[in-house]
Amino acid sequence: MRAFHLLAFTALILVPLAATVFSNLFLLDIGKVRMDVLIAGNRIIAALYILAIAVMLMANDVSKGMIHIFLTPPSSRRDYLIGRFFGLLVGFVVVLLAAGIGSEVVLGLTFSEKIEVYRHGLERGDGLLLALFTFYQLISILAAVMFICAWATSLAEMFVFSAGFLLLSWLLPPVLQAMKSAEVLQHTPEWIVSLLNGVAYILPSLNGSEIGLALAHGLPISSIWPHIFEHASYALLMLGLALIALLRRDL
Amino acid sequence: MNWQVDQLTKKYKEGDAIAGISLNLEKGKATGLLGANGAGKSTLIKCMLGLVIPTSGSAYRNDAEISLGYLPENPSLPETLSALHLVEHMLRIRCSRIESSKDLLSEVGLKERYWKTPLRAYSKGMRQRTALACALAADPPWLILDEPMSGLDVLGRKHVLSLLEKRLKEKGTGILVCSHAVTDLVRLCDSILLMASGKVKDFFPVVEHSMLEVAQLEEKLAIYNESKAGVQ
Repeated sequence: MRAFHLLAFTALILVPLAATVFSNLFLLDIGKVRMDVLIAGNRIIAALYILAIAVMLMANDVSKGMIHIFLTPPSSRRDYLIGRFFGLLVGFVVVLLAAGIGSEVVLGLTFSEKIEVYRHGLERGDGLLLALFTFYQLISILAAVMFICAWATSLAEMFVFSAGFLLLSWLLPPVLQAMKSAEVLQHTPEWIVSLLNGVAYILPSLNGSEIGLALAHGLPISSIWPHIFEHASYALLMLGLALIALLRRDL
Repeated sequence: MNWQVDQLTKKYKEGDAIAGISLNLEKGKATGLLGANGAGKSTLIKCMLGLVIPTSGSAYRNDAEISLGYLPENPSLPETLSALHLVEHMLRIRCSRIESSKDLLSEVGLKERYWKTPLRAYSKGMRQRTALACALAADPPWLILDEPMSGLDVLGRKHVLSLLEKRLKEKGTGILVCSHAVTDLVRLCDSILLMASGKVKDFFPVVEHSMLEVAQLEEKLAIYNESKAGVQ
């Protein structure tokens, strides 16, 4: 509970404060710097929520045996999994709201700038949208973490695999992007390119921050529906796998 | 309403935890499981509850939709919640609107001044009472108790025994209790199953709930323990 309060406080106060202070180091593009810091802050909060709250909770349930208290008929393993997933999502909505309000306040400060170039084309409501689109991809990450925790046997396993999954999901897309350059391709063995592409296919595409930025620059909201559908489908698939893993294991 | 266990077996790489156990539990009766450490008592209970997937065999309850109460051995409880919150949560999960969490906590003998204290500050006995209150939530027709007296003082043991006897007589609850305390088992149970090496070795009907029966049971238990030690 303390970790949850701390994360909400960080999203509401510390990240917006850091964005404001950091942007003052720059002469131009104040709005863009604030946006970048908010995106980075929100991503860190999302990762911490997954590792410090979701993984710890599942580890307590599964490896310490807390699940035994809850998992007696009429509650089934499926009920438990779905309940935990939506419970964690609801908790995350609270953090998201805190981040959204904090971001909106910081971007509100940007509107008071008199020179247009400082404002960087930002509009009211962009702070909330930014938080929303940095966070919505958590649906698929959370479902994947539920799958990891459904078959892992100890806190250490759950933590290491979940952190590895998060890192891969974030680091692989920029690496693959860099590999599109002819110069890099020339010096990279073909099997590594195939391997990385193969791994990237099984990870969710974490493009929320790009969507957030694009929206802030006037992209129509209808263009993001395919991304939301993609994440929802990925989450459903992972929850299905998590259920299969949970149904087959001893508790 | 019965609980039928048919040829339940659980094999691990290291060997069989339980091997071909069959039994029939009747509602309104208390059955005890007695045996040395590693005899397979807890595995049997977990297999019956579906927490451990049996290698073969089945456990069938004709009232499977109805809730049952389970008190695990060394229950792990959410540290930041209070007993009152936890029991309220359990009542909500089991959709019970009749019982109150305060009544349940009083019934298990947890003092009122601790109801709102976080569980991390509880002693082992207080945790045991809280876990028992969770198991009793929504008045389940079956109670499965794994070492219910663990961590309780003498008065606590007496209180819990009286509570279980009351549930048995007044509400007709079916009880399966696993314990090392032979005296407690003889006082509470209608029959006791002696387990060793993953098998039910003997069936002991309790008629008089007397100290003589306690002595007989202890004698039998010693024989099985000795033969097990001999095999090893």
